[in-house]
Amino acid sequence: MIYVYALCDGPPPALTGTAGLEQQPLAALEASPVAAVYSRHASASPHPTPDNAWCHEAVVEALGPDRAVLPVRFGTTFPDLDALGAVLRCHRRWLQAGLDRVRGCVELGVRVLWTAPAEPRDEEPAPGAAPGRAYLLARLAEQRRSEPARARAEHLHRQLAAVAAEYTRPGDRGGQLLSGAYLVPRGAVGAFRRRLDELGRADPQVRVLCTGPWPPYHFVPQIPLGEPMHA
Amino acid sequence: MNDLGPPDVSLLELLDRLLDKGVVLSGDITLAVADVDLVYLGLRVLLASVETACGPPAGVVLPAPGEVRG
Amino acid sequence: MPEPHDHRRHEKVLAGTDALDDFSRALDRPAPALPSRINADPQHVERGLARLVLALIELLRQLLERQAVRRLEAGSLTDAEAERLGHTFLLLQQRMGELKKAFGLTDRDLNLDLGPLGRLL
Repeated sequence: MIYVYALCDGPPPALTGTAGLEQQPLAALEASPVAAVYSRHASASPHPTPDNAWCHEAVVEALGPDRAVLPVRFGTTFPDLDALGAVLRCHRRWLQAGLDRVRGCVELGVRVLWTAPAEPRDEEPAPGAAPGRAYLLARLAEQRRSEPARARAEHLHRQLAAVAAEYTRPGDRGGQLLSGAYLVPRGAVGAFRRRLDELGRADPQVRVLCTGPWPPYHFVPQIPLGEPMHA
Repeated sequence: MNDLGPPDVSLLELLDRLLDKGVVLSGDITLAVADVDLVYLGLRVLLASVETACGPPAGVVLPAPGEVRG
Repeated sequence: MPEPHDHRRHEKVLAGTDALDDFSRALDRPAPALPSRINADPQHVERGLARLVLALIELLRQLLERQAVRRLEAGSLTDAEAERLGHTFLLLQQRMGELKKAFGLTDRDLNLDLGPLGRLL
């Protein structure tokens, strides 16, 4: 079984310094101009334990910064090299374009929490007479309370997006105000972090988390679904 | 995640990326949360049948008749 | 083999080390502890399907509710209409609660990741 870690600019780098999962040696399959880095394993797919996760990440990171790298999702396996090679050849253009897109950049993750000011919830009337309407009014009040938060998130995002090459649409996951990934040219990472610090200081009600630098997990090509034909 | 002791934000962020992002090659992604696999399989089967009916978009190669990957 | 979890904890954090507890709480993710192939045992499949169906219902419910609230705000609903709509959503919310409980699903379970389409809710 072939376990794939990442795709990168070919020709592939020397891979002797890093070990893959289960301490297996790394190898590369070249499908010019793209190369895939993999290791061979006897048994079924690996578990996403912390150690395996960090191991996979270490392999991906070891391939940069001298070449463009596209991290592959954890758990990607192929029965043999022919199968992997067929996929690489079939989608070569997508992969090349994907590498061009991220070359020289890293991904930075940003999450922002907002401590909402404690507000007296005075607009909850006793349901009594019109419970249905009261329900809708309560939803409306909830929405109105979160508007200033959304405006802040939008502002933060726009400030950061200006320093990035690309960015994901800022989602909000439940209690988080903003959750986004930014593709930042290496040379701009300092400026990005400084801007983030400024934004955090300017707004005492937000707490900012920045992680990275990551390989460009959020900025990989979506390979069109469809299987290559076996020759 | 409960057995990690103090919160490991780096690990959480890493897993968020490794498990949900990154390139999806059309190999066997054998992680399950089984229900998510159901969604992917469903989409793939649907697309394959549409392509069979309408012809493939440029550059996409179809599975041979009778060949099912899953 | 040494397991250096401690130093890796801060390895990727560039800013925000003072609020890690809050962030780790907020970064809820379903336990990635089920690494097997598709589990075809009937109970598992049933629960998986229930989860998909309920997630879609929840998505529709939220969209419709937002629509209704917008119309309420815009003043384009009569009191009677608002009452009827709100009442329906209340009932739906109740019913969803019962169904979630019956299948042992939480709100987090219904927030499916659709890969390129992002999270459902």
